[in-house]
Amino acid sequence: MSDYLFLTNVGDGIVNSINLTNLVPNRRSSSADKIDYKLGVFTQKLDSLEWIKIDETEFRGENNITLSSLEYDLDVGQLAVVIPVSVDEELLDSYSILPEPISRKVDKSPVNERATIHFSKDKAFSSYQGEFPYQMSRLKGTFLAFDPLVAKHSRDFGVKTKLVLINIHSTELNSKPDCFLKIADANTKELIKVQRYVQNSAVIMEIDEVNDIELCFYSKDTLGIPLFISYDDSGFLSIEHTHPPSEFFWKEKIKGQRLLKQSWLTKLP
Amino acid sequence: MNKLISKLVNFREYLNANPLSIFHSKFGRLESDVSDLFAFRLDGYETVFIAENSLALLLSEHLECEHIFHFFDANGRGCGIHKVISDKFHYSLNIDEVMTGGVRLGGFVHHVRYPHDLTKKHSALFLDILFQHRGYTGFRRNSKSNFSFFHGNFGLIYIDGTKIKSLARARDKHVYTPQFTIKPEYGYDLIFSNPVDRQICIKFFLQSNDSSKVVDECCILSHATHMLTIKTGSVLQESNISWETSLPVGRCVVFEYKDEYFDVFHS
Repeated sequence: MSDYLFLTNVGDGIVNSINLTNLVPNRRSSSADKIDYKLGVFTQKLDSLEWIKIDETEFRGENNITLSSLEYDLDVGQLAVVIPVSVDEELLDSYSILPEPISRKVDKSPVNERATIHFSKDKAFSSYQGEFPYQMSRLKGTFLAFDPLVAKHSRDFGVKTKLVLINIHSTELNSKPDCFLKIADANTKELIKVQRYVQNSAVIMEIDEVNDIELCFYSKDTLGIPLFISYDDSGFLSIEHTHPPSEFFWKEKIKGQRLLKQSWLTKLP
Repeated sequence: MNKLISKLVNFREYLNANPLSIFHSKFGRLESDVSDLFAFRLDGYETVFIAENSLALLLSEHLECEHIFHFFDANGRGCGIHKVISDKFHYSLNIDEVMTGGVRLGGFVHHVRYPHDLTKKHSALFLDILFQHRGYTGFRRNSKSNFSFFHGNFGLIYIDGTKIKSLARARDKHVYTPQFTIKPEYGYDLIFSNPVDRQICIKFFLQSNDSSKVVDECCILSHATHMLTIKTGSVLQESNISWETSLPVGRCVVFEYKDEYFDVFHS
């Protein structure tokens, strides 16, 4: 198991940065404490099928690397995929298939190979420890999430929420057909909003005033990791991702997720 | 003989890397749902928890559910139980000192119960499926602001009759290093909860490019909570923080402050 990291431009003056360390994320006490690797940064324009290298960086004696979306002049919704690779790997200027990230494990200790994924707006800041699993990037899949992180009762305080759906597809694409991210009323299953997107992008959807309606978010076209960013103009910012449906279950996670998605996606328009 | 030794070594490595009861993971059948161990703090913060109605989410329809919350004080002793019925997909609980028996810092777990007619109707589902509660905990310091949320982390705590037990297991010593840095101009609270059924010890250390320094050591009882505070300006150079515990996955909740702004996330 290994993981990609990402940067994107979500608009509204919100800056995205990531931090990675060469200290091993989780290890037995007796194992090596550092692992050497470097980072390649690749982006794909919304209308392109090619990944273009925009940066390559090493630790150079430091324990940490921090990268910011401001360094890469990304369009709103454009993704930069950050790939940990061996220091010996020669990265090409472009790829149609993204290089596989290396694992940062040094023993059998369980670990998600994450980065700090950080967002800031003026002086407000919020982050989470996140990743985009390589195995997920090889699947087309579907997406379903719910609304516990939507700031529905804070409209009076001027709080807005964006859903940012991160979609990375590392295998070769021959075309980019239209995909659709949808919001529906979770109770009645009636459609509320639709937004077109393409693969290898960050889909940014503003969540409008919904009062007390319970919402669900879904795509029958691709999988993705949903980030919910709530913010206002007076110094509040909060970011977190929702659990994938498999996390509602212990042991039979895949079976549970299949049943849950089947239950919802067959009823949703 | 060499093959046998190799197999034994591999099994020992597998065992030591496994954060859960191997018996329950492979063979056992629980009659209870399992919950992460969450943290609450009411020491100048409000805490809200968003609980999932698992069966309603699985079947995509509103269903009556009893949400049950068990609260623990910082020493791991039970200090309150709160029950509420809701049929919505999610239930939002504003935690207060009445629920926690006056305790301002501690842990809690969330479980669900469904009416007998519902469990009987869907008995085939329950043969295969066991619910896990991960939920979302939100904190705020100002009642005119919104909550900052993070999701559940680790715990696998279940109810066996009247006893609260855990599938999480302590093994050999592991060192966990999150991907954020401790910065001199920020302050930090790290809240560590013990999900296993016995005491664990934690050693926190700061690592800069050329040195490593122990900043705190403690031992905490089952279900207990320990908070490490790093005050603004107490660290002279940007550093990484690591901790050594006998948990194969030893995560905690991190509060990061600067002036009136704060962030909260799990490590």
